[in-house]
Amino acid sequence: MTGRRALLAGAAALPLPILVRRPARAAPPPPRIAAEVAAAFGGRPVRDGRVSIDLPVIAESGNAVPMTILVDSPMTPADFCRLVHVFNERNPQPHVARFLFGPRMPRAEVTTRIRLAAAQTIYAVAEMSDGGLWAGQADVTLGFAACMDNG
Amino acid sequence: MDLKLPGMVYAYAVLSPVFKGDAEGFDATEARKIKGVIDVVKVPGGVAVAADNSWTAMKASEAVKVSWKAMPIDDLDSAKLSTMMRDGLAAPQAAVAKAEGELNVAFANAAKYVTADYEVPYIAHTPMEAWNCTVRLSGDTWEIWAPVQNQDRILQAAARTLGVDAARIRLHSIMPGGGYGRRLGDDGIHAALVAAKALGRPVKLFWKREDEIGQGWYRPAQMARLRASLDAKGNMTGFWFRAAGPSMQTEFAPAGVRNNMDGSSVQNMAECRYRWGATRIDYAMRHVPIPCAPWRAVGATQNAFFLECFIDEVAQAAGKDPLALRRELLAHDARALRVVNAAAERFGWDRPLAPGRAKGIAYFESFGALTAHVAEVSIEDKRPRVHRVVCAIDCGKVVMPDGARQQMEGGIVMGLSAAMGEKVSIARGRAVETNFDRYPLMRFDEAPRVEVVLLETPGVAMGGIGEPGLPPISAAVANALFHLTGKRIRKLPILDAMAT
Repeated sequence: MTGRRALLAGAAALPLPILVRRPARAAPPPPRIAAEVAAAFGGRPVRDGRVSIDLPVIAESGNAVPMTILVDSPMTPADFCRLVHVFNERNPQPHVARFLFGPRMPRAEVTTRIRLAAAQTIYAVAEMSDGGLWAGQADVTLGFAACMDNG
Repeated sequence: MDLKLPGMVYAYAVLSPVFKGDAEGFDATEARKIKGVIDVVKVPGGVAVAADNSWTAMKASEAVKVSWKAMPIDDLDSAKLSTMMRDGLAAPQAAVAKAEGELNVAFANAAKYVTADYEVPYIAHTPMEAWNCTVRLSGDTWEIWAPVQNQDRILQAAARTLGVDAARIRLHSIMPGGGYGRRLGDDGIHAALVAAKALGRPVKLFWKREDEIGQGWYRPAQMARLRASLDAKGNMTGFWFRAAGPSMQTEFAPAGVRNNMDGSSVQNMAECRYRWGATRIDYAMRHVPIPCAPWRAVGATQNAFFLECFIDEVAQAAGKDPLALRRELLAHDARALRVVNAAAERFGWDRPLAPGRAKGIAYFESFGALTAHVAEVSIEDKRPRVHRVVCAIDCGKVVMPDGARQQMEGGIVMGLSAAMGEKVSIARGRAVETNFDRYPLMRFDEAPRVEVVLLETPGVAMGGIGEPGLPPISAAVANALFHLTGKRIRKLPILDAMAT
């Protein structure tokens, strides 16, 4: 079908795009993650921002999902990112990893691959040298979930 | 499946012909009278006939009268399924994988608008070896020998079926006679476990070919509607991809689905490197409870067919050469451009072909590797024939060139077989094509000459090699056949499409 009539039909049928996309929503983390964060940081307050998580919107396979975390920090002796904890919502183990940084590093950035059992939210919390906690989150959907023993 | 254990008996599975069906009751009075028959027991999905040899078990199964439970999909057929999928194509609601730019503006201002619907059927994995599983209780440990691809899942599933801790199960993975995703499932082991428990001795449970195909966990059937707007110069300004149909992961690993988005249904579409202006990629799930599982290359198999056939239609509408349009859409991306150019150059895209021959090209990226195929076809005895396929792939770093070539050759042959003649139609909730008489695999004499160009790009993430060779072949051949016959192939398999 080509031509004006098809064009009109197509344009009329086009719904308005509704899409929630990274950068992170400033929404509270899912309950399981909130509990983990509280345990890791002794219930100190966490602000949204300064942490970005780069994950595919749709990861082809949950067996190895590339993930990059970047913390917005000058990384000077006076002001640097100390560590990042990564949590997940629906893997068997809620705590993915902890990455340690120091002021001699030029950037607080880490790239790795993680295994995902389900489409879910990934949440990262950074602790700065002043003790401040900052968080970012990202949603990921899968083409093929790892740990497929759901029964 | 040749494993023999001391004291082992053979159990033949009699399974419900309807997907996920089960036996309501059975009468094995006559079967039990047959010499060599040990017992007939209820197992998940049907009954198992145990005998001291496999042939007796198979023959005795004919004497068992089984009544099957009524199932909600007893009235499902392919026509109904197509209607559901078509409904999904036009649905106002869909799960969005990508929405970028002002698509409604691009479509409204289009000088030309192209749209086409495509459809692919359910297809089976058809491993040469049918499901089989051998089970023995040794002391308090259950031993399982099975040809499996996914040990985690099998172990957990076995623990649930036996009602024991996974620590009490020893799973021996034996060489599978083909898998391609079919042996990711655990459906073939439950009956063996239940039969071994009931019979109190080592059991090898085996399926017949008709159940291997007819009770497959298929690559899902799927439809897609693709739309593109062109400006006055024939440049793409907008693109909308709508997939509709059953969800593979809802059947196989439901945790992978969220907000009605099954990533496999839009696999590789949101990340596509083509620059075509405003973009929308979405999926309208229309689920039916027919078992599905990853099939080699997963959703890339159907999406490459949908997208690359459509790009050819756009080229036609824009009055452009199919290769030239792909080069335009990838002009910003040196890596992808090199793959497309390498396939075209090795093929000799600009050289005239012999009379009665035509060529088609397709490019697709999956599992981190960029692949382009050019296929040369003719019609012989009213049947399409693929003479030559040139494949270029860039998977980052090539570790084992010979292995990479073999994977391309195998992927192309498997993808070509599926595209040409493979389909599982549904009638009365069951598979219609259940053996190789009606489910034709490609034969040796139909295989094309395959030439592989391996490309490397330093410093990028390594991509896969087992799957990316398969997806583009269906579109490369369908496009070539269009250039030969003037008829678009929008529904697989190709042999069916050409017969109508």
